[in-house]
Amino acid sequence: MPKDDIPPRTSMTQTAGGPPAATWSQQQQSSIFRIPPPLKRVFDKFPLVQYGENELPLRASRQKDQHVLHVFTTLEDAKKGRPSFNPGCLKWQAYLNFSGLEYSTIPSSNHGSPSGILPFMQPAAQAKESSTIPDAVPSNKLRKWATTQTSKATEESEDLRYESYASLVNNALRKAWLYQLYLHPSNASLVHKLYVAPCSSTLPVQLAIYHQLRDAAESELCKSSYSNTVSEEDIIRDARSAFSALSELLGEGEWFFSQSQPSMLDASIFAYTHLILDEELPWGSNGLATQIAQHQNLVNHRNRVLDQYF
Amino acid sequence: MLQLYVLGPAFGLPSIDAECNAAVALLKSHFGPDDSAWEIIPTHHHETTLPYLRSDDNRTLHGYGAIFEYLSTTSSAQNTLTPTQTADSTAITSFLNTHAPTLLSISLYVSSENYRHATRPAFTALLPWHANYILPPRRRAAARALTDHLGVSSIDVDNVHEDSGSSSGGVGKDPNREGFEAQAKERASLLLPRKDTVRSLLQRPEHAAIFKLHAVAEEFFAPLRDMLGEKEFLLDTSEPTGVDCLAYGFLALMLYPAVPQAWLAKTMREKHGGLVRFVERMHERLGLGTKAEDVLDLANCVTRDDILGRRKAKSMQLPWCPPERPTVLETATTVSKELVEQIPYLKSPPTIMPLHSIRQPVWQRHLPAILLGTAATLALGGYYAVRTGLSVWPRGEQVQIFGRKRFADYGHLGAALSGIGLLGQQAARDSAYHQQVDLEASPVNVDVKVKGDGAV
Repeated sequence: MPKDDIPPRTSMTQTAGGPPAATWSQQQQSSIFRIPPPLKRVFDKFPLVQYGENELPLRASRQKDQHVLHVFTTLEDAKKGRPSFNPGCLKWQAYLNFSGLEYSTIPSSNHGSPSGILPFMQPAAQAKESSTIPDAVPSNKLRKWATTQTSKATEESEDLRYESYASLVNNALRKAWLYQLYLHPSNASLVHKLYVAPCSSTLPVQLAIYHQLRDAAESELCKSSYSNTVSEEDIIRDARSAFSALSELLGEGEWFFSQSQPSMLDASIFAYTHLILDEELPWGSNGLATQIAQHQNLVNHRNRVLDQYF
Repeated sequence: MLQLYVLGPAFGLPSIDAECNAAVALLKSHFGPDDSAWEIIPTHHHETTLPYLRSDDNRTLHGYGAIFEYLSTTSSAQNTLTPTQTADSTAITSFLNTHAPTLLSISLYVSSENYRHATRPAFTALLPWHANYILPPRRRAAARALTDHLGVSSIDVDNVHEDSGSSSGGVGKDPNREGFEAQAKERASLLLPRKDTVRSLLQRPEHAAIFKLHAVAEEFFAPLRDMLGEKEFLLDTSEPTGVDCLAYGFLALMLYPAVPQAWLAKTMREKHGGLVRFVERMHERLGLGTKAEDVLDLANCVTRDDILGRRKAKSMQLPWCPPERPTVLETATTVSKELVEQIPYLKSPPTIMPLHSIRQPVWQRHLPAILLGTAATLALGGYYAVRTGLSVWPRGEQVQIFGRKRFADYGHLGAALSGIGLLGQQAARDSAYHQQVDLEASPVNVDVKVKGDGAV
């Protein structure tokens, strides 16, 4: 067919019946869906090779016959079952120790947790050879889980004031801890050692993580204030009065609210007092320790828990 | 004379803010009927922590905790508590501060109906015009952030994106027909009896959220009611103490405001009568009832005697002063500052006011400013240099030869490269491929292709 003045597209429709034009229109239709030849050559080889599943990394936990608590800790501390350096994790560690459960700890990070928060518990498989792995227990269900596992459940005090003293720990002590660790400039190296260095060894990433931690702590502290500012004086004053109130509550007793056994409240208070008094943590500035030191019974309480349960 | 700065009165209470209410109650119980020792000044500043107290020696104390500590250290009257009572007082204060702000935030700010019909109008009466655009939305944003973890945003209807399908006539649809269908549906639903089933009631967002809210409210009310028991005040004292005043501050704002969704006050009245009686007892005893209009009317007073006379005439039981009036300059700076804050990345972050001077090195403190400054200086310097001819913008070679096609055209290096046979082959193959692609793609070449076919 000679070239003529008619544009190619119109000529195609006009000579639709002829065999050469039909070939062309077929090509035209299929060309939209046709894979370009180089890609087609690649896809022709599919499936390429199917590799077997990768083995779990060597550091992955294989202790299926034992409960494993994932916490913020170091490898050496985890082997010895030493306390975690995060108060939220240490509280549960202490609580599980109180209830006499056998478990091992393993270092982890928030990204490893199904709920996004450490700690969480990976319960042991029911039968030795069973392939099903029980679901992980997040920290807010840990208490319920612990009561199903052991007969020696810790009892909470029935005292009317229990809730208010518990709020003292979650409010005043927590804020003071957040301030001292994350926001006090002289403790930056400690934050780096505990939370930043294990995540990454690259400087820009470390800087970014550090600033994220700081920002998170700051916004947590300013959350309940409408004016977006919180004064350091308030935080310190609240912590001081919280310690003296707790000391007054403990009195000469062994455990809080004169219980015969340590309870959840003991665990959560120990989580803070131990870490504040722990001499192995290289604090740059530790104002809370001098505050606790004024209340000898709180120091004794911490030592008692440490000696008997760790 | 002590000057207490608070957010103005609302809902028949001395202030619209819980801690301000508590501070007023505290000072009133501290000084009794003696009005000459202190005064209350309604203010609208949102950048400082309210309430704040300006003492005689010109110290300012921000927040209820600081004011309480100041009063108990300066006077001997408060030191009659036993150590156990002091400890309980600390614990209950902490309990109130943990739970009560969440509930109040939901009731007054997050719930859009309450916010629109009660809180916002109350603020409108109190604040100067510009602060009305700044302070209430800010407090609402803070309240949302505080209650984010509860997931009760469903009672906040403003936040839900409502798709307005009927407003936009879609392409290809007959708008008249659609309007007719919608109208027919409306008429039909009028004919049917409108009955709320249990299911439909529960599905309404405010009701679904209310189950959760009741649980949160119980967590707060029940322990507090048990601690109060049958006592007159929380610490079993004969006079109200600091912790009673704080409890009053929070509970009064839960009980008194007339809001459209009054689940909080309802829970309190139905299940926790002891707490209601406690609030009413405090309210009566300290004479904290306040009419907002009366306080705002004080703004017309000029002299001190005027104010005292007006107070007496309206039988005010609290030493109110005229509200702070913003100057034009102040308004302008606040508005412009707020506008700047709306720009992303320029919003001021939450700050912790340090006790001592900051020990951070200078470069670290001003790192963003230093970086910005350096970048700006470099850019400006570069621009100036190019402009004045100090340095020359790279403009390529002096002599440009057009039509270079072979490697040999590119001097010695090009000649060396052209010697590499592999490269030449590669180039040939590439060009052949491109030609082929062109052949296939371009419709102009149709006839060439057909000829080929014909030959086969």
